[in-house]
Amino acid sequence: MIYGEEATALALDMGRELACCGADVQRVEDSMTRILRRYGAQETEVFCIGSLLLCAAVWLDGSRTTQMRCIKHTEYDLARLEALNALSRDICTEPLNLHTARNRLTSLRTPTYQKSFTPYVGAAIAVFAFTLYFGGTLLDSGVAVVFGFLLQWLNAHMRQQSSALMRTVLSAVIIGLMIGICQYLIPSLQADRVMIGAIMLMVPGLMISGSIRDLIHGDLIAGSLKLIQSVLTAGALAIGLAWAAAWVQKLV
Amino acid sequence: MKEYLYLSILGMIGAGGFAILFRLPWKRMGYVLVGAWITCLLQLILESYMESSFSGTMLATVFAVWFSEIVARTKRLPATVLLTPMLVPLVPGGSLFYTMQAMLQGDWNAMQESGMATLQVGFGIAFGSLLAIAVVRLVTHARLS
Repeated sequence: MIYGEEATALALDMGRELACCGADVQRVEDSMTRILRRYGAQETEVFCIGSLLLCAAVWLDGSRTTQMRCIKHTEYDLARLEALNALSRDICTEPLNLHTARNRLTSLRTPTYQKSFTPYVGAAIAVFAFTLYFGGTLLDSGVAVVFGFLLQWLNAHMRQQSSALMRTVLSAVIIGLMIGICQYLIPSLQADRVMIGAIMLMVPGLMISGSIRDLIHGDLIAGSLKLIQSVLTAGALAIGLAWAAAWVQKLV
Repeated sequence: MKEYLYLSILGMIGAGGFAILFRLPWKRMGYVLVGAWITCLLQLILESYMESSFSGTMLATVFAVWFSEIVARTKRLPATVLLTPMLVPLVPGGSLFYTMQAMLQGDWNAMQESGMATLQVGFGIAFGSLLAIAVVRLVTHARLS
């Protein structure tokens, strides 16, 4: 029974880490099921939605285990996702005992190390390219890069202090205000292009596509939750930009 | 065609930026850039040829999924690692922004128009990825249990 509990806990922790790194629902459920089968589960029931993982298994001796985990925060970390997938494959193909598997999983719990400036470089490249992509000029792209830096800084520094939605509203207000003022100072600036380029970092486009995919695939709860989250994020962006636009009209 | 090449290169660079943000291992960057460039180029060409955002995006997504599946199986890594940044140039960021802007201005016709464009691209990505995955599973006979 203790063995079953430990194996269930390992499968759930693996599922939670995968979900936290940005793995989709099917991959999380598939990896957990394979791990449970590898350690001798005869029957498995695995259920994953955006913020909850549930798992039940029946073991060789007839004992049953049921555990759950909460997923509080997800953020793409593709290097860690690759490492977790490699561990999951090793568990299923090599004679890896529970203790070794647990130690390897524990070593993969921290986010992949990135130099502090690296996300800013990524944000700058993305914002620069997408501002040009959406019809901006070089001037628009240059200005958007500055706001990309600012957005990245706000995202990094407000993470502990506020919820994701409030962070989105505040970021949108700040960016909207500053772009409005910039347009007043530089009349040739195309504010909408700058804004589209900069907020590409916040737009929940991938989440919308992912939620539709989950819904079509039959994962109705996971898909609905993701869709609600993406609509709320888009709404938060809209509210933030609306406030900013209203304030800019009064100020300028 | 020249414009499509220019836009697809920009899409590829943007995907590279997001790949850095998503902490993609550097050794995988080449695959993402090539995949994103072809995906973006395909979407632009197919969209104008078929005169449909949905079809163009769906077929481009099918390519992206197959490309990432082939590389993932060769290199033994999850396809999501390559696919996530590769799909970024297809994401309806611009139309979503214009939908929100039209909503704020109370311009319901514009909101409906750009909202439909957003949904078409969103559904295109979703249908494309599901269709491509279904074909991959059929071909490889991959199934759970």
